[in-house]
Amino acid sequence: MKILIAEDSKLSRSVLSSILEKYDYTVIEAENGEEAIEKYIEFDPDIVLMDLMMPVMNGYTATKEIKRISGDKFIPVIVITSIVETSSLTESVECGADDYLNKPYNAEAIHAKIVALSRIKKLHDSLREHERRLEALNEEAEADLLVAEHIYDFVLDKGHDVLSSVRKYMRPVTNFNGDILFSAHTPSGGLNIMLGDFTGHGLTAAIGAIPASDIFHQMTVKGFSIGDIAVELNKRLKKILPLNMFCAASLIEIDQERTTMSAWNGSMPDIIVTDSNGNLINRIASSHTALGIVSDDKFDRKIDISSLKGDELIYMCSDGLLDARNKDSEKFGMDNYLGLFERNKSSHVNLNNIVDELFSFAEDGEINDDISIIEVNLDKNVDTWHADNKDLIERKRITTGWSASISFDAGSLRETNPVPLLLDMVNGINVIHGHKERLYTVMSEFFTNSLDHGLLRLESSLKSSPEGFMEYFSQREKRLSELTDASIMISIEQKKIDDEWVIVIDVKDTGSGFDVKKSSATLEDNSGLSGRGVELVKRICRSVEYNEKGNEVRAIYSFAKK
Amino acid sequence: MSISITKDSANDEVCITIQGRFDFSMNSDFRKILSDPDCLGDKYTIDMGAVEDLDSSALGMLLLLREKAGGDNANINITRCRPDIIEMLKMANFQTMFNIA
Repeated sequence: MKILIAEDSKLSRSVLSSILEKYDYTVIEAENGEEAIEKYIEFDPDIVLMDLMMPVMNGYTATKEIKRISGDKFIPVIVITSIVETSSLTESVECGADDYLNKPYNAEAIHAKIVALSRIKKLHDSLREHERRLEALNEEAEADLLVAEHIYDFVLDKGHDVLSSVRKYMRPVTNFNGDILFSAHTPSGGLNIMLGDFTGHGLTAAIGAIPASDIFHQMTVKGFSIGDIAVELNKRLKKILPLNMFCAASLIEIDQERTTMSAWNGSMPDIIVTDSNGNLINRIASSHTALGIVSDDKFDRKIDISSLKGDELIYMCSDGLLDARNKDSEKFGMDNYLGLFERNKSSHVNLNNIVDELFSFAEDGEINDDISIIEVNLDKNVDTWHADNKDLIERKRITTGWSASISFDAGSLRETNPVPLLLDMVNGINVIHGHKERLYTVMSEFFTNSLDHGLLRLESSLKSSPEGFMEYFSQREKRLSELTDASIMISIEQKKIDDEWVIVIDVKDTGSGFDVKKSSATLEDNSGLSGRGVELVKRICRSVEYNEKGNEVRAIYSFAKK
Repeated sequence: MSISITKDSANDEVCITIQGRFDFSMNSDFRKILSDPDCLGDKYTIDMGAVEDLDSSALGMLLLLREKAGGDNANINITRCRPDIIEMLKMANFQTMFNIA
């Protein structure tokens, strides 16, 4: 350890030097304050012993100067005084001195002081080193974040089509958002929208957003359904994200005619549909695990398809909205959110109202999650959607007709649900993407009607209450087990009608027929527990016709209609 | 805010009690539990009776525990949840991966 002694008396200096050298310290000597500063700069000592009264420059000034030069580096300065004089001590401490020594010198006392001060110096140095390292890490992290932010913005910009149907409010908590919004037109002129919410705000979102954007846009452009897209997103995110990271997401798909909405909600708040007057008409609650959690074989792609009139408004939000808290620490919550759509019956609820409500609620409260709210306005006056010619080209790839006819007797009806099998068959032959869910809806609707109403004679009106719903299923089970001498025939044919390739679906049962008009409630009162019914199928297909008796139905499904 | 853990060695059953806001602030404590071999068992109970709120990082921690406890074969009961906490777990479809009561 190097010790600098500033002392004008030669005798005093040599006494001090010999004491210090006894303890193996390296000693540097200066005769006055000015020389002390020069030697300090030259030799970089660890501790300074400073006499106060010296010619040329006194100890106060020299101490002040050495402390200035050393900056945030800790150099203990011990002042040497001949008498305990409180005023000089106070002044020297004000100049930056750390301790004092009284003359005459006592070897033990000097050594003890040096040891104690060098201990403090060590502590100070290691603290400073930590601070420096932390600062460097901080800078590095900030630089990384900037890169991530740039990538993220680039991805989102690229992904964001300018669609006047879609309005958004996105409020990130940190400088970049963990929420993502993608929207793009399908080849047939429909619209796909995805709102996603990644765990965390930073890197996870940036890592996940890039492949998510690519998958969403590429598959949408190729005409895949949101079910297909959800499967692929899940597979990819599962692969790249750590186990505890995932992406809650809502995906919706509106066909070009705006007659149906397909929705997949994985761990997001309810998707809300209102009529053009702002009345809530449908909610699609989460029924799936978020993307990136379950393995591919366990992933549930089931889509909820519902009918539209074509002038509705659709709202999607991330859970940051529901989690916003007021000053009493209460959450905004689903009830407040739904309340907006019920309360505002007279005045038209819109995105701005929702944001206003949020801020008046959370005033003086806390918002600590990203918030995104999306409004999709289906009014055709707001935006027109066109098919591009890729869809036409894709449809021209169908060049072959085929047909299949299968019949199921009572025994096999008890054993299996043939709809998924039929769907796989159709998909195996056809190569057009994006029709799986729609064909499934058509086939399963007809099949259920034939079985439940045609053969088992169940009343769908039963399903209007939760108790009736249970009753419906227990009766269904009982009658199905007793069913004999009955069958359902399903024929599927792909053929050309009016120069266009279509799929003709015929379903016929041996029952006494059912009253289609009674069963197919109108769209308006179709949002209850009962199935969405024939009315929905009519919107999906080019035509749906029942025979007089009600035990035979033919639907023509056009690939162009989606 | 805290996590405590008790283990019934006879039945190889681990009980994790979580209190307060179950969020990112518990991440390091939770990970410590997961990496401690003494905290592993055959069956897990997570007592969430005193959980006031949870966020997506809490869901992430539950997923980590599930993986540690055997993935699809894990036997994890989440008990005593308040109704709003159950709502949140159901929104995430966690009833398909955990026994929630």
